[in-house]
Parts: sequence; structure tokens; C-alpha cells
Amino acid sequence: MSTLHLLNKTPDRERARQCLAAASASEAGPHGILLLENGVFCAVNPDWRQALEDGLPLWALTPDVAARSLTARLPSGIQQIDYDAFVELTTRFDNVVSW
Amino acid sequence: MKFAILITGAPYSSQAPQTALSFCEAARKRGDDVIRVFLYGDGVHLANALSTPPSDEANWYRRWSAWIEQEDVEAIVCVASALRRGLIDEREAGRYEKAHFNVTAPWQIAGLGELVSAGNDADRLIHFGPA
Repeated sequence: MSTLHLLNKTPDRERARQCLAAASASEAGPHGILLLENGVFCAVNPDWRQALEDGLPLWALTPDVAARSLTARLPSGIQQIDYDAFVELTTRFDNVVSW
Repeated sequence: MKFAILITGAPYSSQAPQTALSFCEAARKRGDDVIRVFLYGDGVHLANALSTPPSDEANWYRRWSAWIEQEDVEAIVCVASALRRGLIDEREAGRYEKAHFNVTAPWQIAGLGELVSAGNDADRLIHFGPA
């Protein structure tokens, strides 16, 4: 069963850490994380770099990235998507979990 | 694809109503169905007809109500969350002898069972919560 995690919290929040830990676990996979709202700050957080290097699929919602002036700082491994792709992404995973 | 939408973040203190509406609009544009929108916890503030933001700011009550009417989507406000936050329709206002009410069509006050059945009937239940 694949799971898409929706994270809207800044990386300093406990829920953000729990989301990363759950999505990094090998059980109940494969996993992916969509960063949205304030969750897009996780994209530029050093603690999240390892997950990206480990191959965890990470997406970030374009309007929220742009609203927080993070476009130029986004790591190349994180794919920016719009709302159409957000909807499509939720259909590609068996489960969708919001943190 | 059938979507059910759960909103637990309030307008003006969270981005949840904005994100959820953009998601719903994109889903309908793709040809997907949104079978029910359910407001729970602080999310019920979205259904307050007396919400009056400055005219140069987004009016989330008006934008959501217009979309719900346009797409003919069921819009449910959790009764237990609503009443304790002062969100009340005409019927409940009569029952509790209140002089006013602030929940009107297209929003309906109902129980948590409507969320459970939406989760059963939809292919995906997407939750938009506070930050």
C-alpha cells in the first residue's frame, strides 16, 4: 500500500519530524511527501536533505513555494507541482495522510 | 475519481480553506467528483454567514458558498463543533431559544456520521488542517 503524506507544517514542528520519520520507514511503503503551505520550508531545511539523497520522493506546491520566496532556493531533487498535479498525485497513491 | 473533503482549519487563522478550495476547483476541472465537504473543529468558522472581511481581502465564506452552489456539492457543518463555537442554523436557534442564526444554505448542520459515510463513499478523503 503506497502512501502520500501531505505536510503543511514548518520543519521545526514535531509533526513535521514525525511525518519525515514515517515516510522514511521502509514498512508500509512506498512513500512520498507533498510539501504545501508552511510545509514548503522543509524543502530548504538541512534535516530534510538526507531524505532527498536517500531517494524519498518529495514534491512542493508551486504557489506556496512562490508565496514564500523559496523558488530560487529549492533543491533540484524536489519537483514543483501545481494544483492539477496535486489532485493527480492523490490518485496515484493508495492512501493520503495529512499531518 | 470521487473525493470527499475534510476541513479542520479556520479561515483567516489557517490556509486550509484556501488550499482546499484550490484543490476542489482543480479536481472538478479534471472531471473528478467532490461528493461532500465536511467542516469539523475550527473548520466550522468557514460557514459563518456573518463573516465580513474587508472588501479588498478574500471572502472565504462567499467564495466557498458560491463554489458549492455552482457545483451542487453537499456542504456539511459538524453539529457538535458548530454549536459550541456559536455557529447555528435557524432550526437549532429555535431549539436553543437564540435570537439569531448564522448558518444558512448551501451549508447544512449535521452529525459526524456524514463524515464517516463520505469516507466510505469516496475514493479519497483529503484532510486540510491548520498549520
